[in-house]
Amino acid sequence: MEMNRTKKSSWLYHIFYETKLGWLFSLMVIAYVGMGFMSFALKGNFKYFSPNTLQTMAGQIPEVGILAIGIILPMITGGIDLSMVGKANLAGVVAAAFMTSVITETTPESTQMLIAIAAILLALIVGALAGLINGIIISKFNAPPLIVTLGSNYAFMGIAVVITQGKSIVGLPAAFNSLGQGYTLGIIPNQFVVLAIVATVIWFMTSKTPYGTKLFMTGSNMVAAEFSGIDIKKLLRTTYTISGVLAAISGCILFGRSNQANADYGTTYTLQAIMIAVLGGTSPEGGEGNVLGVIFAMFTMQFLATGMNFFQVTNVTYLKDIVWGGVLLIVMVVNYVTALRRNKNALKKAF
Amino acid sequence: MIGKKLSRIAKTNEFFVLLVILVVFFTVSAISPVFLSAYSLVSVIKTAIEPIIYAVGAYLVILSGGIDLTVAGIGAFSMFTATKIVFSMNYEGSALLPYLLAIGFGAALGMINGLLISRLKIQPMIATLGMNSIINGVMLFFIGSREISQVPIGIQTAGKTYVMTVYNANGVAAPLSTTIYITIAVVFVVYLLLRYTMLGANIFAIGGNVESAMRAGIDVKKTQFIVYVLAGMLYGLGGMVHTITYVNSNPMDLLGQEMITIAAVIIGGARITGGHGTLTGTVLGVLLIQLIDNCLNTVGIPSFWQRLVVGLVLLIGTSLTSYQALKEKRRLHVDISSAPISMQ
Repeated sequence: MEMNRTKKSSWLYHIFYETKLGWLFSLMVIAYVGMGFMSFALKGNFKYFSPNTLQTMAGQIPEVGILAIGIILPMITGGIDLSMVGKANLAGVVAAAFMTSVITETTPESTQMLIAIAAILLALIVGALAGLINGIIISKFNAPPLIVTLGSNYAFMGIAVVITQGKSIVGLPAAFNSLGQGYTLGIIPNQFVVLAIVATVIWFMTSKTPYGTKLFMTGSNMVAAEFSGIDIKKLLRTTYTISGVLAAISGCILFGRSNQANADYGTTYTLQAIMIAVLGGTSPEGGEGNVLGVIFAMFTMQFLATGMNFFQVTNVTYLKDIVWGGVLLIVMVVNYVTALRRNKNALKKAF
Repeated sequence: MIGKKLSRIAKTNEFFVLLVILVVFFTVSAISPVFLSAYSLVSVIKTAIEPIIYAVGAYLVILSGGIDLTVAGIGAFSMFTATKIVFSMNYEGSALLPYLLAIGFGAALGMINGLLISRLKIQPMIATLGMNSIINGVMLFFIGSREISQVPIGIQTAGKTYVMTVYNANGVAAPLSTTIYITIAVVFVVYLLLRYTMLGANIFAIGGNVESAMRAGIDVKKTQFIVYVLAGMLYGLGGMVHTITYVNSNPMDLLGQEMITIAAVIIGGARITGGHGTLTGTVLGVLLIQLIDNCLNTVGIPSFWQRLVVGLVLLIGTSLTSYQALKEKRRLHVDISSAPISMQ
């Protein structure tokens, strides 16, 4: 993708034409406008387009969004990480257990703030360690990532359940909850700011640093990458560690938003995150994927979900499942058909 | 001669799983002597009846080099829709009709999976991920999300006919339902299919290497399609067994079943890349997971440790088998990527 840049072109042209993100962007716009007018047709008002709705959506995207960004890195190497939610919950539960055991009712506000920051750092370390364990098992034993992370997901969630004894940890300090409930400048949800920072950092890492180049090379052809001198084992360890850190961030936001820590929270998020990653152009076979596409995809999914909320039918979450799965499969089929047509045209030109 | 054969058996993964099962069984018996009884044996087998059917389906798919995340989706959809239909018909016949309906729904949904994967070339993981979301959504949105506890009489009687009932010291009964015959039949039929039919050989072949299979003249598309249809039928059947066992039909019951099923198949020694693994291993894998679940209760460890233990078993199991494969590869110098450059 980066290698195609032979002719000098504007960055807009590059993003929308060369990286084939144009149609994904169009899909997002169509989803937004389409859902808006559908909710108008059904309800007779334009509430969907109000800033309030946008603010709510911006608060809902980050949890799964950060998981999706975290999952594309292993997917680019040709692996996958099914333990995202396990890591997120473990990190969040450890942070919550730490805070509730340290903070008493008499703890002053400023100390609580410091403890919350320490707890978040602790969560990040736990996430990184959990990711590193995945990375070590995958790289050292040459074990299939799908199975390793399936197993470690059970293990991480298991540890989290053992810590909480199967109950919820409630009464998290306000300083921690502000991560998932507060607003920056009074309008932008804090978690959305975190998402923006995470997306920028990962975008920079994947497209502007040697690490990113190695990541894509490893994913496209592992043998060739190894012979060109890339330390694959180290790269895999780094990649899974980063994805662990991102999972931990998402876990903190999740528990901050719900004001409680439960080891069973968000079990459906793993598959949603994979769905968003794949819709955003990440190939499960490795070597392809980019942050911008994933962002377009997560907005598309959120627009569809929120739009359906405005229909006011019962059990709307189930309708969302149908639409999300449908969009994913339709996009996959369209990808296949266009690739087929492109190949046929190329063949026609060649002969 | 016999010694050689024995040592070959001892090296297989199935033997290893069996060994772990025996070790777990006797360790727990040593800790709490109550466990060493017909009661606990029947309890383990009883809980394994349903998951073995799912696991056999998932095993076929994994053997063919794919993966199927629709286990829970198809299972729940088939059982719930079938129960709902016979319920609204005021059906009073035997459990045969619900079984056939569930298998039919499973086959239809499996067909869609098969078409997406074999004709439209969507990666199995993505196709089944999307399908699972759609199937669950359609079931819960259009067909209903409330459990049916007043199941038709046929299902009730089928759920309450037992092969035998054993009691523990406190007089608690562990009845072994006749559904075990279904599981035995499924395992037997799939064994025959894999061992003696062309289709079975083809499934192994496309799992081992798609390219070679294609060059050898195997219809890869058709084989893949049949595998997903068969798997769908098995999930549907398993779902109905679930309804019959628990004498109610709750669409939420099977949530998360896909992951534990895949875990069981992998613990049983099937390789996720396809082409490797045995039916015996799959059955033993399910038994091991169910045994762990049962044992933890007996020894007095709260059930929330179960997930941690299953995860660790899976992690250690895969690490060991992958490491063995890696060592073997290095020894043979087959894999270029792990051989030193001077070997080229």
